[in-house]
Amino acid sequence: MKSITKLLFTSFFTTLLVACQSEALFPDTDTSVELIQLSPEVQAIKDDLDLSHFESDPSGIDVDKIVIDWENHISSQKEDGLWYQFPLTTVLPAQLKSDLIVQQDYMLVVAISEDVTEYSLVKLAHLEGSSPTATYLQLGGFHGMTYLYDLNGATRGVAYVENGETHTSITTEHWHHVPMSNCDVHGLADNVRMGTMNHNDLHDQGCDGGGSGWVRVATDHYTDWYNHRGGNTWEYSHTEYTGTTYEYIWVEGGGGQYLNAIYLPDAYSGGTGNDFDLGEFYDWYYNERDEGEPLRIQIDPSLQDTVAGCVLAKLMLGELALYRDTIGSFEDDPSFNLTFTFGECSDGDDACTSAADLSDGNITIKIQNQGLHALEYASLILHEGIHAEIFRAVETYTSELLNPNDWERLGQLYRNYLADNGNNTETTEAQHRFMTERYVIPLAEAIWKLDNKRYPLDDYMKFGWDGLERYGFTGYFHDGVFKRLTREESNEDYHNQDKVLNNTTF
Amino acid sequence: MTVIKKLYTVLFICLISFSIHSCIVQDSEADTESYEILNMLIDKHAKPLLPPPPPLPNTFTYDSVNIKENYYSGHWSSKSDSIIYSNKLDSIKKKNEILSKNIAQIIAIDPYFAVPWLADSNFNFANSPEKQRLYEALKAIQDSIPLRIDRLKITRNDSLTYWSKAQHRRRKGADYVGVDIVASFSRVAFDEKKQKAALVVSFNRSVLAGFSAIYFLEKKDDKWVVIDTKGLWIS
Repeated sequence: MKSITKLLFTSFFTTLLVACQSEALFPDTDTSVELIQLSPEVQAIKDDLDLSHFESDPSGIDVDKIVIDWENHISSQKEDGLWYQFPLTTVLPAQLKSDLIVQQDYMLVVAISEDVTEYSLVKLAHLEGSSPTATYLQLGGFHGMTYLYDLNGATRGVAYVENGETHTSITTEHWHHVPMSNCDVHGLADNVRMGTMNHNDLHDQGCDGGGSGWVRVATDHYTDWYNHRGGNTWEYSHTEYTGTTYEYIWVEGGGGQYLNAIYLPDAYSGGTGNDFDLGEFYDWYYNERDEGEPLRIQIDPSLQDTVAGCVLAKLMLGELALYRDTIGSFEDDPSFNLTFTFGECSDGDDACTSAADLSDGNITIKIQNQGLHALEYASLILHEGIHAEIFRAVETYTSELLNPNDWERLGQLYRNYLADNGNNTETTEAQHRFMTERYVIPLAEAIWKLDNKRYPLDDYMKFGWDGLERYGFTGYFHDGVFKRLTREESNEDYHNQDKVLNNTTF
Repeated sequence: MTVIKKLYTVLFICLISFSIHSCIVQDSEADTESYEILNMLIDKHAKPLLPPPPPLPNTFTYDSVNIKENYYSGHWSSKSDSIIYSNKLDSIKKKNEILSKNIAQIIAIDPYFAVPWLADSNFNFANSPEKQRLYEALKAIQDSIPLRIDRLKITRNDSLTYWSKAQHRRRKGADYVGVDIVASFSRVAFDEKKQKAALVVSFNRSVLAGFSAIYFLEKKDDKWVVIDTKGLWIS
């Protein structure tokens, strides 16, 4: 009995194995290659399609790797003509670093009207809860972003779709009028200036500190290089950064509640919190504010319509202690003027603080690098703001920033490096040493609060270390204890910062 | 007549040759001097970072502080505290000196003698006409010229490379990768005798840690020495 069972069991497995192998080894004889005759309309579309000028930035679609499934199209008669949709079966899209997007699908959409045939490559970026089978012409259940690119690869339009219904959309001509729920939304790609921004257009939507809005998502592209050591041995050499592309997504709700609790300077009647409007702020700043109070913190008009200008406005209206005790202190000191401007430092800098005219009470913070994220601008503005306040404090020997222990340590460091509070190597060494000991955590905390404490404080440490890492590597004293920043900690800080920057709604 | 004509021709050719030669000599001389100035400035400023001095212990009490003048006085609660702290500082100083010699840095040099970054400056060196002339000469420079790092000779055991944003920054907003210091130099303005000079210099340890200044120099005993600086910014 036992041996029969064993035999049956063995036979069963052998049959199963053979069956499986047969399937794997021999092609299905019933399958034959059949050339399907395309309809004349589809054939005409196929013949007319020219993707030779398609640029992969910003879509991330490499047209050389695209296979258009001409046979499995769907069509739909709409008011403006007949629409066709063809799936793209092979694409190698850039991977978005955002963890908001769960699936991306691509298709060719052709709209044929009496006058014109319009081709678009379409990308569907599914957000959580979206139906994975939704397509551009069958949006039922779709939740996410639709991106239309023309045959040159330029963005034709972006829409946010909820349950198959278009919630909000932006088109090319509206790039410069994007409602700004955060300072990172500004024109296309790297452009910092928002061009001909129309304040009236922005009025209703607002450059608000919270609520919903378009968020620019960055995708960093890297190539890993390896050295071939013979055989199958490949040794990692280095990673090369090959560029960043940007796209927009719509985010419901989100950050900025921190800015709802707002410190309002006297005479400011503009919107705050969710009603904050950048245009209204600068109207007030340039046209109304100087009637009531002197502009001791001057913002050059070059910054007005920029991400950095937006960040600065938010900092001015916020209640960050670090801002109040550094840049804010200039409001109360009539002997000093602090000016923010776009300006030239040197090629290796993102921003700098000029105290070349310190004896006359003038300090200028120049912001040089364009194309940073809003939180990075906030970080560098605060970093330079600390320099400005130290310059002012040492001149006047008054500061809300410095307690008696700080004065002692700052004095010791100035003496050690023979600093004279000038724009020179001695002063920069002394100030940066001091900042490394005292302000890494306050800077990180400030950015953490601006980002509405989205992630743990540790994830914001890179913002605190911006510009100070080298000093951290060589060692610093924290609460009297000698410490060193390690390369591993620094690398982790970078990764965390990437995550924060790619998901912030500040 | 023919002889005189020939003589004139020869004289004319000589004159032209001499002018060209002196121009070349002058230019190459300025070129050589520029590199000598850079060598001196790199040696002066591209030193490795070393740990800071330890904070003064609580047993030290300040009587007077003037940070700007680097003046402070105070007293120790006991003489032994003072001796212990002094010994500690001496020991750190010696250790740092040894460390400093053994640290080999990578210094990235901006590949151009740049147009001086003075477009928005308006300084007045009223008490020094010489400086004013050099400053104005600097401001008048409108073009950059290539800088060859193979012509730089530094005394420290550091490596030089050309600065490249694409290569040395992993992304916008990120700090330098693979370099310890980035140095940028403007073209150098000289006086007629090539005995005085000025240029704009910037040294950066990171995208937010550096300084820039106009350097005024003078040749003394065949060596360029800094006689004054005008700071432009720190970052």
